[in-house]
Amino acid sequence: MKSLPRRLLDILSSLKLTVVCLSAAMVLVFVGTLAQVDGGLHEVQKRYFQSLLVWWPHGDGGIPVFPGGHLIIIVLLANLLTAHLRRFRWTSAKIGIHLIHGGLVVMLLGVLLTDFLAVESTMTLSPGQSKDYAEDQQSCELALVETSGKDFDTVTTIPQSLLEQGGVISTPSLPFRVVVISYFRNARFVEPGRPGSNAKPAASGGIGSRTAVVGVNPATAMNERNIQAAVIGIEPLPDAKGAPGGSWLVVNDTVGPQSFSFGGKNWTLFLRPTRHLLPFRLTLRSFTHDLYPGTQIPKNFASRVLLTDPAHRESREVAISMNRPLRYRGVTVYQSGFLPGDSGTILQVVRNPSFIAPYLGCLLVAAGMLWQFSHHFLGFLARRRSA
Amino acid sequence: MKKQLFIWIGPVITLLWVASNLLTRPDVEGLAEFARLPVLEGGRIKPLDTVARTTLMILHGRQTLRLPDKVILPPDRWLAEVLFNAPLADSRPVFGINNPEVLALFGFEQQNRKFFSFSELEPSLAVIDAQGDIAMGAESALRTPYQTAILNLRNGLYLYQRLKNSLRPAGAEDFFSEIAGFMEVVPAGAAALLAKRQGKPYDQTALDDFLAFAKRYGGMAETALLLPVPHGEGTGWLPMGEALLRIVSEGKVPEAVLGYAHAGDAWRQGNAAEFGRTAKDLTALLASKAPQASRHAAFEELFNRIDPFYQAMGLYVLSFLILCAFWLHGDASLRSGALAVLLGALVFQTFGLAARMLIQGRPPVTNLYSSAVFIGWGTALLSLLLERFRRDGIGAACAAVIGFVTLVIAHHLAGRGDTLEMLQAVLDTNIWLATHVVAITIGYSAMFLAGLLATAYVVRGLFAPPPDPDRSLTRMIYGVLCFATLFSFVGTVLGGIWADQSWGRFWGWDPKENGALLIVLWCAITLHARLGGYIRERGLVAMALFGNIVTAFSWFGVNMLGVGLHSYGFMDRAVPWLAAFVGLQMGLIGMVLMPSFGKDSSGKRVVS
Repeated sequence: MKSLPRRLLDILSSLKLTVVCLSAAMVLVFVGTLAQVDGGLHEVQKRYFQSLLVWWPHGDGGIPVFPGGHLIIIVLLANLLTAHLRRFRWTSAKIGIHLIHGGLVVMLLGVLLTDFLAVESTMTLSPGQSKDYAEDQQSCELALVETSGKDFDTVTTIPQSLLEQGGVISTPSLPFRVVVISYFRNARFVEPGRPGSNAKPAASGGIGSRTAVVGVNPATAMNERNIQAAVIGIEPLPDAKGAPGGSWLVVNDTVGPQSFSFGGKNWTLFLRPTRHLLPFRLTLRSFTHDLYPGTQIPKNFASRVLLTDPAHRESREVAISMNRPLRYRGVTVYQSGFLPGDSGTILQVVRNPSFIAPYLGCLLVAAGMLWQFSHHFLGFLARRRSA
Repeated sequence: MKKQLFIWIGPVITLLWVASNLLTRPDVEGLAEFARLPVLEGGRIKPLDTVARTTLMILHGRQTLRLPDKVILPPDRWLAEVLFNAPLADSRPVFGINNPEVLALFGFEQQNRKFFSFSELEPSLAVIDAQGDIAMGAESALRTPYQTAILNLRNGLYLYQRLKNSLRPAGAEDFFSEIAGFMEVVPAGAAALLAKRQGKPYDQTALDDFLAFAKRYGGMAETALLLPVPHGEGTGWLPMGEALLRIVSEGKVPEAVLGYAHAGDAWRQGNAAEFGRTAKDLTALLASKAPQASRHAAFEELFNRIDPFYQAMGLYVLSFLILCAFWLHGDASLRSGALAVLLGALVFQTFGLAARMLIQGRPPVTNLYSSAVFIGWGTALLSLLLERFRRDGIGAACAAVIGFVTLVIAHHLAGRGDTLEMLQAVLDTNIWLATHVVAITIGYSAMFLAGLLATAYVVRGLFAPPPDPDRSLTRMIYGVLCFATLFSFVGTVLGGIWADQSWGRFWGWDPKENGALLIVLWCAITLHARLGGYIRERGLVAMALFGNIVTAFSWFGVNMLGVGLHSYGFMDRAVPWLAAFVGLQMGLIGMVLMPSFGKDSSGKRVVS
């Protein structure tokens, strides 16, 4: 009779578990592919592949119905590692297998690391425009800017996760409290006071005093976008005196800065796509969009940008085009798209510290497969010859 | 003596087949030269012959035009009519309409025919346009068959009118004289225009005469489908209308314009001898103005005429028939004959692939069409390698079947136009097309081969048990699956690296990526299940058969979902075929898993 840990280890390192994991992965990938017909790619990815469990929506929460991508990868990693630790043999017939599985471990780890570490964002530039940050179109942040300073503005941002939690937010850099009165993942707007409508203005000041807001289901189609919105109240700190600052309706990327004054200083607030600061600055010199002659088929998109990085004494022009990205200080900038009428460029900005993992992993696996395959094939030929 | 005869039968039939296809010449003098003339269309230099074939394929569904009185109009002759004698071309029943609702729109529902002429459709152009605008509002994946059909018809009519307007303006009877008239009004007209711009007194009549021409040719240049006039150094080509207007800035009309006008007038007047002479002059002129383009176009026209994939298709069928005779008779020389025919087919297919690569300057697989051709080629080659080891005709039969089926699939994929189309910007990289796409496609080939060998196993088990007396067939299936694993994995990872290089995301869970991953996972499951002894011979065969389904899903199924970056080949017509294929595989799997399969007459199990 084996002890319980020993029996668990047996199961963990068993070939049966490998087959079970692979089969589960296959089902998951298949279902996750079909789900993309109705759901957006981003939602599907999160729900099926970048999760521990796949939840079936039910009531408020849900019921876990299937292992998610991360769980399968973790079990598969444990399975691979324990199996190899327990049954490792250094023979010529096995070298290939070890290489393959070693490479797979690296690749699976790479998937997990990428899911947690990689940051993808976009930078939209019109000719002449200059930016030292990129924006994540999938999420938003509330920006509160103090504009009384003579030479500079002071910016405080509140991330989407805090807005989603709601409640009262206070931080030392703000002389007031920020109250999230309501937050909408996807909002629509109606005009209050229409006959037959009981919609009320969303806020006391700014555009919100003339607009009512309703929440709708998050977008699923590829060509739809969520319009995040929030109603934000500005209130004095509990121990301070002062009049309440009122409330504002903020809408991501649509409604510009709305100003208010508090404690004798001028402020603006607005909701914007989450910004990621970059260690350098890009200025668009020109954008070209070539077509094949006599057709509408795009041949190439290219942006000429000025890269400036005073800290590293860099100021030079670079060309970014389809399949030819700019790599600089751990950040890679790709040509992604263009604004309507070729009026500007859209660049994809990626920071992925684990980008090397798949390269390393696939090299190991390819070497192992080649070894294993030639080993088998040569053996097969030798047997035929002797037969 | 008899055996010798069998061995020679293959090559002789092959040669006769080819000769009969190559030796047919056009019946009109000068048409052969006309077919080879280079034009710029769809972003690349191609011969008029290719324009004729692809346009007819789109409009008519085949490469020749069938007239009501059973007369067949070859593509080049039809194109010459469209370009030079529009009134006659307008009366030809070219446009294929199958959708009854579209027919009902024109009140054609009672008619027992599918093809309609431009003249018949002309009164309804406004209706078609309006209906097309409504259909455009629907998302492409959600369009009804009627909406798809009306859009196809609208696009077809648009294409036809652009083609018709390419070389001659509407209603031109004697284009050469018209150009001469234009050249006469240019000096006075241009002077008047200049004077008007500078605010000086000008000759209104001269200006009006000139502007009438400028409007006519400018409109022609805007809508022209073909750019037939080489201009300046390098790759500059002009549409006819623009080339005519160049007289204002350059003082003369390019010679090719006059050449096309001459040839067109001769055709229009039915002067065959004159057309032959002018077409030859035009060929010589373009050969001196654009030598490289002329050579390319002539080579592509030869490729079209040889039609290597069509020849290969016929030879695959022939070799399969000879193989059937071999299995019935057991005469080894029949097998040699079949192999010779098969080799002939492979030579044609290899030539076809190489010629496409040469014309396009690209690796072999650039779209769904070429993937079908390449999969067939790869599988046939692998199968012949297996035949070398087994010598029982199974490998050769696999080669013949897969070669034929993939070419039929390719033929149906070609209906959407030029199969040598230019590549979207993101695909414009030969290194990844050559590695990732080729590796993935070889992986598909090996998966289909394993599935086909498994089919052979089942068929033999049903008709001539035992299915695999020395277990060599299942060993072969296993070997091919290992090969498939290698290439599918490497191809998938290379795809990831391409994605990482192009947009910074190694893996995006895009449907096509997932499809490739499914193949890799299925191979991994099969190999591990066999290693663990969870499956034996019949299990391996069943899994190889299911591999066919997985591969078909990855190759075609994901494109039908219509989502993601790879959905470049969306097609609904293939859905029932895919369903039938899946059903067939499931049936075979059911058979091999039946408890009675693999038992001898006494009920003893002979395969596990």
